[in-house]
Amino acid sequence: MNKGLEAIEARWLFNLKPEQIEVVVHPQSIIHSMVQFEDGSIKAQMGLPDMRLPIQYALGFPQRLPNSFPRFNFMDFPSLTFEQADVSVFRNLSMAYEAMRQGGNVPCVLNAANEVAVEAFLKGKCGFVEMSCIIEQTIGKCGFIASPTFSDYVETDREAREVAQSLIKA
Amino acid sequence: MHKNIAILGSTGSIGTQALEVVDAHPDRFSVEVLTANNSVDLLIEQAKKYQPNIVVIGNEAHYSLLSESLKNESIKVYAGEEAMSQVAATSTVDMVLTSMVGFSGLLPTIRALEAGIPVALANKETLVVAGDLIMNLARQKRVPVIPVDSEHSAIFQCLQGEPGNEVEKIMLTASGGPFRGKNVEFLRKVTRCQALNHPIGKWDIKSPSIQPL
Repeated sequence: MNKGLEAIEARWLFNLKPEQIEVVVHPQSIIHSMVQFEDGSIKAQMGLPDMRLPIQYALGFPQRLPNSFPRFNFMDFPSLTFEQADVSVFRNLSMAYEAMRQGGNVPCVLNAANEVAVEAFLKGKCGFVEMSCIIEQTIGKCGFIASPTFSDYVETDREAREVAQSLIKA
Repeated sequence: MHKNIAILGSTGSIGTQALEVVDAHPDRFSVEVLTANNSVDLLIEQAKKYQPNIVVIGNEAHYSLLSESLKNESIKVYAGEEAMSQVAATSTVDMVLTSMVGFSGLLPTIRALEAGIPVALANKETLVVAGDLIMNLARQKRVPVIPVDSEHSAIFQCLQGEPGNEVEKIMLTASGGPFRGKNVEFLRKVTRCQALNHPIGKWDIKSPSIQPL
């Protein structure tokens, strides 16, 4: 689900359509993401997986600041590999895209139900695969609002958590 | 340029790493505001070290301990959810880092943008839940929203120097998590321990992002 939520964030941050956002599995986590422009050229941002780098970039923007954090060495990662994300196995990713296409308060429901389901899983109250069922059913049961205001989001978050909780108890 | 930073959620994973970045660049960054929801002991320690102008504890039950512990420092101490979002609009702040977890990250982001303060965004809910509201407000106020998450930071960095150039698509990379290449039958039997055993950096048990992809 995490990648699905990131796709929703990317849609808003970069003003994209859902079909412009792809997920690529890259087990080494060296390429942090990529942009393909309309000439087909791709830019990839790379580095060691160290959260201090994006934090420093954001705080220092637009300047890059010198640091002594560990440096990447290509010979430590002689092969960078890529795989297709298997949405048939990981239903959460396709659910997140569906929520993104529906828009309105659906991503809000998705987020709330996901948090409740994850918590239940960690406490041993539901299985791994059931988490997806809880999220899907919660989306089905919550009322749709096409253009929510801030207070609509607060109310949707509350409602979705309540619905998801009741599904776990059931 | 020297920046006064407000770190909302300074005791979490992103908040503590942001303070490491501040440690690495004392000439560039000062800490103006620190906030935490519950981790009062670490907040006290951070306040003594970084000497912010303001600290806020979300859980009001910790207020007396916090203010008592900081009574000899020249630091303003507040508590509660309302204070948490108000400090995001402090006029002496040059940038707000929203590294708190949960839905409570929304209102401080709105307050900062309304006040025209740039936001370094690390709170997932802000855009997942209310991306339309937030980005419209940022455009209207002409305030930058800079992503902190490594994937979005990567895309943001790739887009620098490309004004007016159309994006065909973006590719978010995913490590695939511990269950990469597994089938549905396997997933049915996945336990909590397996789910937390992530190949790149262990997952934070408090983080809701325990599923792969």
